[in-house]
Amino acid sequence: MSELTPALLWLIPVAPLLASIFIAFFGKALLRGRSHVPCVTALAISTLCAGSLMLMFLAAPSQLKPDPNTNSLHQRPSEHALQPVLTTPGYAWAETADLNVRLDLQMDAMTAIMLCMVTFVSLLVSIYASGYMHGDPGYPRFFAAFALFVFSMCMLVLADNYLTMFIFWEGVGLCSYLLIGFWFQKPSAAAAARKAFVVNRVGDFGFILGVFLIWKTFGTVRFADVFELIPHVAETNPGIFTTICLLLFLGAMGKSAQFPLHVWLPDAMEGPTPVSALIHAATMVTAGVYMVARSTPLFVMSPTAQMVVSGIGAITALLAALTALTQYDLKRVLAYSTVSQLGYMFMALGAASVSPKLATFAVTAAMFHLFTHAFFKALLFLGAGSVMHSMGNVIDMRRFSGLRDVMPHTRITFLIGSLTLAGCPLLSGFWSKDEILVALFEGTKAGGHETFFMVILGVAVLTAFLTAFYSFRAYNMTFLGEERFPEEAHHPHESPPTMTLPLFVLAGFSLVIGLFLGPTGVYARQLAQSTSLPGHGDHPHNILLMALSAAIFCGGYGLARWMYVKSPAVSAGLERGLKPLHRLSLNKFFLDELFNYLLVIPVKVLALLCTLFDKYLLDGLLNFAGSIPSTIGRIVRPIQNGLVSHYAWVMLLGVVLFLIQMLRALAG
Amino acid sequence: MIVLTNYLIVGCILFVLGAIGFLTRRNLITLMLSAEMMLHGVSLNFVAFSNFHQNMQGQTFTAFILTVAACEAGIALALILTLYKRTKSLDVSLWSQLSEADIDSPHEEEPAVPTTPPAQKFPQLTPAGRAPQFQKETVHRV
Amino acid sequence: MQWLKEHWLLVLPMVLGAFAVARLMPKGEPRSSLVARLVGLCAVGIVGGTLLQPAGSVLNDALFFLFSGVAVLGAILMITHRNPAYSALWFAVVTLAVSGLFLLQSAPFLASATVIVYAGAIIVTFLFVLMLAQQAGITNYDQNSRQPGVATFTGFVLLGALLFVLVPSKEQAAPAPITGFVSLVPKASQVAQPPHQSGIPQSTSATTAENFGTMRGLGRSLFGDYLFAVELAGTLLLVASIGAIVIAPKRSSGKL
Repeated sequence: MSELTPALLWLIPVAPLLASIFIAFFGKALLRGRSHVPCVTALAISTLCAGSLMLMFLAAPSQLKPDPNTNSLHQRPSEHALQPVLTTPGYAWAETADLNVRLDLQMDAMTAIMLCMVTFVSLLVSIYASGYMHGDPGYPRFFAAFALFVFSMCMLVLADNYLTMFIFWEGVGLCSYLLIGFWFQKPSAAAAARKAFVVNRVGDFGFILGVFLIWKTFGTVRFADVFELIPHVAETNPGIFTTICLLLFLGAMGKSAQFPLHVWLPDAMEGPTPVSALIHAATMVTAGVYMVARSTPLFVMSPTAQMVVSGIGAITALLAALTALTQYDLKRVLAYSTVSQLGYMFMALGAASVSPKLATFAVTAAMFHLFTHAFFKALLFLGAGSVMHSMGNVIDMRRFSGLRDVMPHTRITFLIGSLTLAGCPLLSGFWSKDEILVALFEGTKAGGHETFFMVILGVAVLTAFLTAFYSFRAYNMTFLGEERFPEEAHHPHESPPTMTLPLFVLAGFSLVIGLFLGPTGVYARQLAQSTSLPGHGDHPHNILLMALSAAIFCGGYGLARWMYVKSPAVSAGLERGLKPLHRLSLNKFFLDELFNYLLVIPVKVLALLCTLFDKYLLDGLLNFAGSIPSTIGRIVRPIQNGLVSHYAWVMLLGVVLFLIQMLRALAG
Repeated sequence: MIVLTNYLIVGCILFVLGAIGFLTRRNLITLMLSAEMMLHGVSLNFVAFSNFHQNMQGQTFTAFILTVAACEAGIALALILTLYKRTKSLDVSLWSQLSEADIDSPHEEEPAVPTTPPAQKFPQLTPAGRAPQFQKETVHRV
Repeated sequence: MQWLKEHWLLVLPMVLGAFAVARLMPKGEPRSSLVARLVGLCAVGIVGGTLLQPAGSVLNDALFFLFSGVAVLGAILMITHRNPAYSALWFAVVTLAVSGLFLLQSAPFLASATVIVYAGAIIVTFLFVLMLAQQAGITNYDQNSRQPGVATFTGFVLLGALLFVLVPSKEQAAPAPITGFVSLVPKASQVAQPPHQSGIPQSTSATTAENFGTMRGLGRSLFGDYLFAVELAGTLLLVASIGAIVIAPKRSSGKL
């Protein structure tokens, strides 16, 4: 097994890459309707590899002996725990005097968990997509980009240095762009893809600056080397950590859709639903969380940066939840829910600043929520996709209702997803959310920023309530009530098994995974082995908070049921009564308009000024410079009039001038 | 005593007047004559120096100038005939093919032909040899 | 100003002459040219009276002033006349006057050769003029000279520069009769003795002073020292005559 591990590790990203290349080259000519086959196969292989490696980690970390010959496996001594790291040499990618970057793969516990999640969810979504995308003219293109995305995401997770991570960070961004704009004939899809790309540039700019600063400060970009050098740098230049962390967090803000860079994610729902499920809910948007979690040793050094992380997370969570309250587009509700949950994760990550002992717990909470969120959010999106598939691509919740009997499978799985998202006790979302609340609660007790974390905790609790409310609002509006279909839906029907099967699998995981991994401490123990964490720390529990979140869930659920099922008139009345607030929420707090006025229009004005400058000043200067020779030529040209006498006159003039000059010379 | 300067001055004046004529006049024949007059001025110069130095080199050179002037006159007249045949005019301004393409023709600026030409007469050659046939007939009829 | 004050005798006839010539040039309608003629005469008179120095021998001087006056006035009339036929005639006058000057300068052969050569040339030219100009009639180009002012000005500036070289200024004139640029020219006595350095063929006995001015001396020089050049000149004449035949329009190519 030990000799095989490097091969297995490489197989995880390489299999989707090969599938992508294969589909890209032969998809249109050979595969056509069977284009999903290589993709699903490759993802299955990746999932198997990731699962087996994960089991290896779980079973016996002690078996991962250091190997002096290949350096493929080594254990780093740590004061807290054994931290097994599996590294596989790739090749030296960039070797200069100051910068040596190798394309090596590195797998530790955190990576393993992420890999399992990514490959498994991708596999399910690809199976789902083979049904959902059936008959689309771009079928091969979809799966080529899909597989390429999985490759990039795996490489991002497996990267052992910041630079490689950045490259594949851009890689997933590219795939996201390609898939959002998958139906590029639609102007809205093309605009959404462009918006996502441009907004992400802002974040990526911060990220690359952070990487540069890391390189400048530490002289290396490898995670392990950077973390080792932290104590050294902390003595000489402690202020640099805040800058580095804030720059890195800017990158995370872009990728993970945090306020104010979150505006691209709701628009990204223009892409096919499987893409929304996989990229814009389960995997890619969590890359920011993963990156910050991976950089925990850096963030621990800068409480200021962590406060910022927490604060931004709180703002995002609350704003997105408020926006989600009034959206009528089912996918948009889910998108804002995603933004809100990501904010939750960042809140937890920020709580690592409370104390070094709590850091591991806080990061674990965030990563655990990331893990469970991937399953239930993918489930919800796929359920929404199933509804869309059935309703003839209509997703406006006002135009259909009461799908309970038409789509029983979709309904039951969507219900499970909603329950999980809302935080129904014993389901996975409950456990992970509870851990986050606990981490924040610990922050209110110690660490010197009690008031700050009090506010954050309040926001988190409020957001939890709103989450419960809007998830059941969506569920109620879609599946309950009288049976109505839009005219586009020619024959409302349950989706094919290729689509419902992944729904059930994901629903099953959503139900049990939290219970198995959360309270038992398996996940936390496992994650604590990763290199980026300071080690196994406290693992506090708080029964009171659990009760509180259960109560919040019940409150949100009850309110939604009352407003949208029992007496729909209430919601309509509330809508009229709070017209301004409703409009504010419906229009996403006018953030897009604000950005338009603050950024887009000034840039356009600047561009206009540049155009004018170019057109009149620069072009004028150039034309002027060009006109000098032609003007001189026009002045001088009449001399060349072809008349013999004229030429003779010029000769005579020359003789005269020459003679006079000679005379002057002779005369002295 | 022979004053060299006097002859040089006269030579200069002839040369310059010939040059002015060459520059201003437009009749091809007049141009040729002007050039010949410039040669006269130069010849006078040579002869004066020859006398001043009391040797024959200046005169020898003047003999060559005469030769060249004869050649020039012959070829120039042949050319004038050819050019006249092309344009039916002795105007040198018509021959400005070397000019830049886009500048105005030099003809446009000149004033029109004098409407009332002066009553000037060209010298006539008296008819010589046998009289033409038709005169005889006229005489016969009368 | 200082310069003008010193050289007004040189500048004045130049200005007057330039005015006269420019005024006499044909331009547009014929106009009264009496003033210009008088001014031109004045200019010629001033030049003749001040710049030219009498050599002492009365006959020589009289002949020189006669010939040179005729030559200069004839030249002016030649270049300014509106009728090319009269121009040709005035050119003949100039040629005769120049031949007279040649005679005065001990060049009888050249004088006669000039008359003979130019007599032929002038007659042929005259015939051409009559033939062609009579066909053309009174033409625009004969009545309008091109830019007479500019050309005359340039020409007289050149003349002024040349005369400035030739004519000694007043303070220089006093000590020696030959001054100015001409004073740089070596004297005949200096030339005769030392061998030439400049590559001019060394004078043979034929070109010495006793043979000067005779046909014998010129013949010696031409067929002795310059034999090769004479052969070349003969070739040139041959080529030129062939060229003229080639260039001239053929009888077969149509009537002139």
